[in-house]
Amino acid sequence: MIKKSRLELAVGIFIITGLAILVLFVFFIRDFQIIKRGYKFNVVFGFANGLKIGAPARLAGVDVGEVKSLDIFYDPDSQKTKVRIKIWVNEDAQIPADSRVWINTLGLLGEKYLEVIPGENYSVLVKENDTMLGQDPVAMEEITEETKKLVLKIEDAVTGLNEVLSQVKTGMGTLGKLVYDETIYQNVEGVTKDLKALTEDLKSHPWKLLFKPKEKPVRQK
Amino acid sequence: MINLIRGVGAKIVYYIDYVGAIGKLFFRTLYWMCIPPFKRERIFLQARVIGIDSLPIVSLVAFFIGVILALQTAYQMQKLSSEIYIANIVALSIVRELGPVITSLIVAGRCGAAVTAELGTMKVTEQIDALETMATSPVKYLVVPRFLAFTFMLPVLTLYANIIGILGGYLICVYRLGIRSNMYLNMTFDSLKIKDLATGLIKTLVFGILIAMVGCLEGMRTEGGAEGVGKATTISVVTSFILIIAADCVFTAIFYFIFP
Amino acid sequence: MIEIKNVYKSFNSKKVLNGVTLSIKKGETKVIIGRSGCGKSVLLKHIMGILHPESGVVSVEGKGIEQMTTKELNSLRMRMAMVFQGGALFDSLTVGENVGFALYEYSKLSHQEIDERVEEALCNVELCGIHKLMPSELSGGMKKRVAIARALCVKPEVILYDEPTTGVDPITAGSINELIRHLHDKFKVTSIVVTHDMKSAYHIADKIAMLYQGKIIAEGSSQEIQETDHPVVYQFINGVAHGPITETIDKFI
Repeated sequence: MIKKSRLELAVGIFIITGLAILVLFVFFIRDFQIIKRGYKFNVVFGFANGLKIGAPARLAGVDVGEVKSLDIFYDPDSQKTKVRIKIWVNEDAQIPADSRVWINTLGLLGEKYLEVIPGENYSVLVKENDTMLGQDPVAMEEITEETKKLVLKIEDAVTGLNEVLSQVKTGMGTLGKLVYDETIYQNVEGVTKDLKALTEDLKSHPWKLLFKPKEKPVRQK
Repeated sequence: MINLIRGVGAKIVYYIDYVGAIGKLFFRTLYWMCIPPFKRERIFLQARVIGIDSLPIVSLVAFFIGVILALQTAYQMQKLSSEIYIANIVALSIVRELGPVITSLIVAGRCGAAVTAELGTMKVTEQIDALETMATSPVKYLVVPRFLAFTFMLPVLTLYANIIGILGGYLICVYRLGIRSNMYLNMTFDSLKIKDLATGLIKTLVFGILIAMVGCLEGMRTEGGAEGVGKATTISVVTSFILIIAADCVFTAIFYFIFP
Repeated sequence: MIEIKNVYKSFNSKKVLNGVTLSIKKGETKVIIGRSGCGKSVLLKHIMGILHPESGVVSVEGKGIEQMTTKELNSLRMRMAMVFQGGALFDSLTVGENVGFALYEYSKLSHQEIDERVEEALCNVELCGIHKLMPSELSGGMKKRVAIARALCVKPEVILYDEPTTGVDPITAGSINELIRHLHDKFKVTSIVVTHDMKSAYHIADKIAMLYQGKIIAEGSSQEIQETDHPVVYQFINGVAHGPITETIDKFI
């Protein structure tokens, strides 16, 4: 009888320890948001940029929730197809209604996530089932398009500049002459030399400033 | 040529037969499980043999697997100077795959073989026939307790293996590679999801059923004395190993494609 | 009480039973003799319903075993007991648990009552007070006697013995024979004994039947069998090395 109850005790301890490990795992894996309290709200975008269900939502750079669903719908007012994204955030996250929401990328090629930068008006907070307008991310195509335009403009500018430079090189135009015509330099040098001689002369004979020297080359002779 | 086709055909028939035999035994086990009288102590006895007595070897192997996994990953991760991801890799590999499979393989080799040898010896010494003459179904008396013990002890053992494997990786990373303890634990539990743990445990339930069924079936149809028992034991271990790996492959595919 | 009609059974295309017909009356001790491996044990297992005939009928008290429900078969098995060749004691249980197995499993008796029944059965085979030993601690003869005690413990109406005296010393064999005889006289049990030990057969039998090539070739009292003029039976009971049995085997080879 004693033997039997000890057997059951041993098996019992074994199983209970196993269950304790299970509870430990479940407790530490912070995955069970069904149990955590929070609220959901909607953000409408014109373009979702590949955001996926389960992508994190960050308030001021801290993970506070995740994307629960994505629906495409047609908005008759603006006559555009739009995306309604349902977001779950936990209870403590206070998001002012004037916050800016956009879709951001983690790293260069990383996962997309929802960036929420809190606004200033804390008297109006986002509540359950509220709908906010998100700032559309620029689509990659648009970025390329813009870049292309920019590149074309730069090209234009560069061709213009090239022309100017080539004219400068050949000595045409005022600037060309300025850069390449040596006569100006020689003239300027001559002038500088004269000026130097003049100043030295003046240093040694300051009175020359006051008196006009007689043109009689008495002393030099 | 004809002989070859005949041989292949016979093999195919043999395997279909085998699947049928396992299925039949499974349903007979389920049937007898529901028929009184229920004798708890037999289940507890098997639970001790299969569960508690396997714990030391399962723990030892799980620990080494954790250490090996951490070191092997470190070898590659140090080149990319991202040692912190060792925690993720160790945790995910062990909880999703290695914990369940290694535990099942150890239990199949240790207890599946023992079950086949025991039942096989009982068969060749007519003890199974004797059971029947005493109005006791061998399935009820012998298979049901083992079936229950395998099915429910394997997930429990796997939980132990998981935690000990993670501990192995933890020790290497914290005391050898200088990753901070809190950081390692955070990375471990952040990378895991309940889904990972659950799929691992569901797998072991099925592996437990497979080991129990193959072990008991081979034991109960043993013929030809001591040599027969030896053969049956070998076949039992080989078959359960193959079935475990095959079932694991199927499960991984199912979980990958259906619940990504 | 037990009727066997035209039973056929083969294993891997080897015909073991080839139209056996035999009937056993209530309270009678029937000895089935035959060479080793001629299908005597298989015949016993058909009577217990462990093996099923390919064709033919095995019926107990007028009801075919094949037609019985699991429940009927189990209640029949509670009234019958079989003593296996090697004893077939469960290695993992003590002698006491082995002997009282069926009672522990099915009867509503208290543990104390079962223990008393076990001790009584063990004393009947002259092995009082060994219920705490394990089967591995027993000698071959003791195992056989424990197996008989296990059969006795359920107080059966029919006991089937599979070679009860094979592999034990002559003195033990003698005591086992005495025991079978004694049980027959005291409890009026119907016994079916399979053996090739002729001394034992003459000692215990009311009727002897000879199984040869899957058929019953001769049946009668000990006296009739001893005075037979059937060449096969004559060769077997007298243990002659050359005769019709060995000739047919030579032909096969």
